[in-house]
Amino acid sequence: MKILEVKNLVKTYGSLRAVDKVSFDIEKGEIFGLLGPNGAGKTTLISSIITLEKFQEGDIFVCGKSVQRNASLIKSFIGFMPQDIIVHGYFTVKEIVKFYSGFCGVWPNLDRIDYLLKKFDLWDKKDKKVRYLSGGMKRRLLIVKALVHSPKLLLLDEPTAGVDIQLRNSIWEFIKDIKKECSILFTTHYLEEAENLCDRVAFINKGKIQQMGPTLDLISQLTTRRVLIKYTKNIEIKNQYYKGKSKDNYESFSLPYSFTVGNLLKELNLKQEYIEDLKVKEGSLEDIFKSVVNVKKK
Amino acid sequence: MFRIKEKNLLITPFLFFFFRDVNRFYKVKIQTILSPLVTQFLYLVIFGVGLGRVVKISDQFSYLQFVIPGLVALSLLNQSFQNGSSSIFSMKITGEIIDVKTTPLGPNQIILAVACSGLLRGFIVSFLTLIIGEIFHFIFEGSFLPIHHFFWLIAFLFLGGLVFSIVGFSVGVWSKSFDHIGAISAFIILPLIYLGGVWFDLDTLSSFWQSVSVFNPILYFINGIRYSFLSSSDIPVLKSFVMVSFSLVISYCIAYFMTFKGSFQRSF
Repeated sequence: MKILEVKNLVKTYGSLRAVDKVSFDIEKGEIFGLLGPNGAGKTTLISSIITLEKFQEGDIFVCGKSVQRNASLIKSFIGFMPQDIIVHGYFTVKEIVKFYSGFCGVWPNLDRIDYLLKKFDLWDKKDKKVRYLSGGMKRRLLIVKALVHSPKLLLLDEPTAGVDIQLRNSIWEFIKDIKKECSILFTTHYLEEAENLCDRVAFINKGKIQQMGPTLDLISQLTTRRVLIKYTKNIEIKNQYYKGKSKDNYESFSLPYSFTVGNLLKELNLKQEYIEDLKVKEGSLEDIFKSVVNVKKK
Repeated sequence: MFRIKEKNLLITPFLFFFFRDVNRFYKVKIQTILSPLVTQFLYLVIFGVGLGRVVKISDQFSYLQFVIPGLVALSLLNQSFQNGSSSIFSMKITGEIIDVKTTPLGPNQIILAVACSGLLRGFIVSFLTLIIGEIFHFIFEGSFLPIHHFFWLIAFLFLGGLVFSIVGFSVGVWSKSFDHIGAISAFIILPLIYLGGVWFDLDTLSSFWQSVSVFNPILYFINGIRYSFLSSSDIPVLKSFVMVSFSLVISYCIAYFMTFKGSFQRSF
């Protein structure tokens, strides 16, 4: 079942096409990562889904309903965690979560509010005014608010931007955990994060999706495995995958995923005593990201 | 794990936005309720009692009797306006406006919730102003000031509070800084309120200013409330009621339009 469908979406600001004919969908229980450099159109896309931005062409469907015709209903299906922290000067943590639940039309909801406050370590701070919380706590509160009405689709706009490692890890754990409850679309600049969490990713640059697919498939199709060998003596190397010598005197080879390290060693016909050290570096989303951005620069 | 017991996208969001806004002004009650009361008290001391000894407006009632309804109207309109504008503008400053935009709250629910909370704040302050006024009246006139037309009083308080909350809402949506709100309040709303006949009878103005005042919508609110107490006003009460009702329709349309514009833009 498709929770989110984005079809040929176009969003322009004057002559700038911030989102250009973008199409993708998210299945139930799927974690989908939207990756790209600053200004690529990630936040514009998320804002269009949550109806903060009006688009010019295409359509967005959440649980089969168009956002243009069912804005209020669709917003009750979506949990949204914005990039920026909200101060909430007048209110306590629990008051804010209660109000938010009510804004989403869900009341009574105290059981879930208490459960989420405990789960995200905010229970002890529930009667404290939000403005006195630390940055990390405020970010956790944003997550609690996004989840309080049991959404079917969770939109996380850079949820780990500017948080410490401990909180980042707990947010990662949470995202894996919450997958049982809802589908997740999130943007991030941390590619390692996307690699660990996402079932599928899309690379977006200058408003267009450049690459999209299951995370592991993309890595194996679009990246190479780097093999670094340090020889004990100078040997002339003749191999199609040889890329040259690195700064720290390792001979570098770049292999497609269909070609194993064993195959390489067999081709090189190396004796064990000629090898001082051997390292294997797997391809990553970062490699794809760099190629996507470079392609655009050309 | 948790089933949503009830999901109502019409009444529940409206009620919670209303509760939130009432909570907001109640949390700063010294500023929103007590401080205006002190101002009204001083007005009564200085104008109602002090000036009232030398100013005579009518043979039928004293200046204190004339001023008390005006002050009730003044406190209602001013506080309703302040509530409407600060409610939305403070959300814009703290970033809370995103909660409004990304939840199922629709334009009508938002405007009505802000209007009702502004009405409540205006009603509380004007009611307390009336009590202070009645105490003054009892001390200096020997009896309480009677309310001759209770229905009209409630009707004008209700409509006046709603209109000015909604106008405040539109100003809050339009404003990009505290300066904008301050400017609208100082250069438009307060002059209109003060020139609307809180302190003086329309007949005391020159014919030019009398004809200008006809275009001041606040004149009709104040005269309607004054009629409720004194059975006497510069403008027929039905005409005031029609004008006030018309103001409500116009202000609501403007507020609805504003929710799709500027910093409060709602896409769908």
